[in-house]
Amino acid sequence: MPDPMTAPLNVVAPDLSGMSQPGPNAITSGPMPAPTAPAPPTEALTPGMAAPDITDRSINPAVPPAPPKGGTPVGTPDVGGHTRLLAMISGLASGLGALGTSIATKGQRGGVQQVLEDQAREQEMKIQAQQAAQAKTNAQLQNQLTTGEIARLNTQNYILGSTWHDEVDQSHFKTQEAQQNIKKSALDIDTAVAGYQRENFGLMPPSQVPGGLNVPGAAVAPVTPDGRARVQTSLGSAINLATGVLGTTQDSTLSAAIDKAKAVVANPNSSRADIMGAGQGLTNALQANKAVTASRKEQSEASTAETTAANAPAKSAADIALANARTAAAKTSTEKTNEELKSLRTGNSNLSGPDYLKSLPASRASNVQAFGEGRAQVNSRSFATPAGQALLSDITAAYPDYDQSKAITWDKTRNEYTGSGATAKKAVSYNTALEHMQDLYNNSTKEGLYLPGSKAYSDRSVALGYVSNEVGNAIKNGVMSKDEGAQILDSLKGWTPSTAKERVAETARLLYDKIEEYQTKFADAAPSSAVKVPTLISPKAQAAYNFVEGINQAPAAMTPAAPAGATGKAYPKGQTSGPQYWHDANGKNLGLVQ
Amino acid sequence: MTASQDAIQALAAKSQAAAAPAQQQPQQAAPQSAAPSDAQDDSTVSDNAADEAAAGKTNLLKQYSKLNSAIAEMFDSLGVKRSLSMPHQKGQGMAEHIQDVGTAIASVGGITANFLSATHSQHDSKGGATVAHPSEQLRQTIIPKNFEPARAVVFAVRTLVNKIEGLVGETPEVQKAKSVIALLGKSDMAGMNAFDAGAAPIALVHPLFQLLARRHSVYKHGGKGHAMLTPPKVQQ
Repeated sequence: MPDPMTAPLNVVAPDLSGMSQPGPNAITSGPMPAPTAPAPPTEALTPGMAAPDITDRSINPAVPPAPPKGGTPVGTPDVGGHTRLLAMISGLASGLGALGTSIATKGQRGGVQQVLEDQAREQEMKIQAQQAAQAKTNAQLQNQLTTGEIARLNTQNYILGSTWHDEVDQSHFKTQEAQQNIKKSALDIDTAVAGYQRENFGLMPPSQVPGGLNVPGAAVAPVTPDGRARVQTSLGSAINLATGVLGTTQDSTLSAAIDKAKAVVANPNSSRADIMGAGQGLTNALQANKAVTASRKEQSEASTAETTAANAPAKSAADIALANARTAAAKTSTEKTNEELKSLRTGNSNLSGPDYLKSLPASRASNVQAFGEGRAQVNSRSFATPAGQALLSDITAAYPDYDQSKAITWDKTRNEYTGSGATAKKAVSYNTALEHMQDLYNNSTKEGLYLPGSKAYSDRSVALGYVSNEVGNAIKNGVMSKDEGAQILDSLKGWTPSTAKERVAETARLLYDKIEEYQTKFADAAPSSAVKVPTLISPKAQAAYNFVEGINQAPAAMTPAAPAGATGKAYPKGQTSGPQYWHDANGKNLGLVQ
Repeated sequence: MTASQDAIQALAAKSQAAAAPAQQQPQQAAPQSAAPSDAQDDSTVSDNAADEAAAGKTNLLKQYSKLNSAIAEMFDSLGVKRSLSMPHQKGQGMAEHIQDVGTAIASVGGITANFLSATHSQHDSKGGATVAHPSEQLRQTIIPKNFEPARAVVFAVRTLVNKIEGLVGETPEVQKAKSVIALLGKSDMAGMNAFDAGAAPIALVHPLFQLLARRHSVYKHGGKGHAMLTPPKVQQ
């Protein structure tokens, strides 16, 4: 076997002959070429050398890690050896201390009892510590609640503030609350009065009056403060009614009944019997007054019949004489009354109208003027006294068309039309609805009718909403009937811009006519033509009506202005209807009433 | 008892404490204002608000924004570091902004751990922002005597209440608010903790805003909205 150390190696010797001369591919100039990189191993070129490890090794905070072998789970109190030792020493010390005390006191104190007390004290301290921790947590929670509440309030303040415009004034917050309360109280009174009057004035048997005081068989309930107030209010209304009936007549029975009822109303301790008695007294007195008035009327009619009959040839001479005597007596009485009244005048008796007014002393003139123009309140007794008679004489001289009966009711009339009366409420509703007619008219376009989202559609919807609300409220408050409301709302419907506009104009006319009708009635109820009757239509409603009707200029006020010097209106002689004429104090024609 | 009532009731005790010589507590982080100005009565200045209101120039939201701005300024001046400042983004609605604030504030303790004050995007010169201050730190900070930013807060709330009075008159709500402000104004909230000093104006303005909203609803919609929000029992 050959020696491996000496035997030639079995390798192929490299051919190095080419190194003597450069080869044909040798680059003789330029940069040195980059060395050729060795090829990677085949395994490295394959896309997946091994399957990726996708095991989820992230920490799940909700799951505690598994304890190591022989360990305790997470959360176990770490009671180490030292802690246990300390507890043992503490217990031993406590026991030894108790033993020592027991030996020293010969068993009087210490012992097991002391050990138990020590343990109880320790337990109590632990409980107190827990309570303190709980209180701290509660305080923190309370603070958090407060903080959250303040954040809520702040946000809500901004949200509430966003419900109104940036720039606001007082008018944006004027509520109808007060008005609603007035309406409500007025309604309550009306209801109470109606109930009382139905009960006491025979419109309904007492047993049928709901909640009536006079229900037979019903237990007599004590008068509650509320009930007393209501009944006293209704009794007060009945007094007003009776006072109106009393008027200028000298009915002592009715007058006494009124005085008695007033005393009952004024007395806060009046009993149920007092109230009922006063009401019944008023009822009786009113019925008596009615009977007397009817009787007098019959007598008067009979007298007239007799006078008429006196002209008939068939009547006896005695009848004729009687008729003549009565007529003469009546004439004399009237003349005498006129003469008496004339004698009471404080001004120049030969004058009348404005001239007479000028002849009065200044203070008297202003007083007379206040009555003549309806500014002074008049009741049935205003002119009952001699001084009142003199005042009436002056008023009738200065205002020949002065109507005392209208003057007595003028306050109520004015309240009815411009105050809290049903007509005033209606007028408000009509005015409000009319005020929105211009918007409705303007927005009754194609966009307004058929293009939701457009400004015109939105504006028209808003205006329609206002009108509907107003009509709805009026119906709800009982000032407008359902039919009337439906008529107004139905008349607003139109399918094309032209018909819609036409309908709006018609509705505006309807509303305007209603207001105008009230205005006429209102003016007719004035005690004299010198009274400045308030205009029922609002300027805005008037403007809206003018716009819809295409009137460029505002029409004349509904109450035609009287020409200078006019003291009243009158029909032509012998007529009771048709056009009227203005006249002065002397009866001179001052032109046609427009 | 609500938290707002707590805050208002706390004022009396705090204000009385402030009437005594100011005892600076160790945890007080409030830097004194540059120079304690003389106690001037600003009631005459803000009384003009009622005239403005009557003249139809009132901008309540602007004034409320000023109040919030003054509160945030007071907290800043007391050295309480803000936990959040979220400026209003142009074109962003209120709901979006509130949502953003809600998201962001969760990372700094949540809405119950921070006092939020917000200025209005249109009425604030800086474009409006919601600012949060840590409420616990505010509770530990006491308003010092003659502290100008606190006086500015009292002035802002007094002006706002006067403006509201100019619009609705001296209602019971206004009377109550004015009496609380008078109490605050006596000592310019010195001695109160910063949280109460910021919470009180917001809490006492809230019933007034409710009153305004209610009245405006009645004026604008005949009270329909209010009626819908009112429990049936109350309606009767």
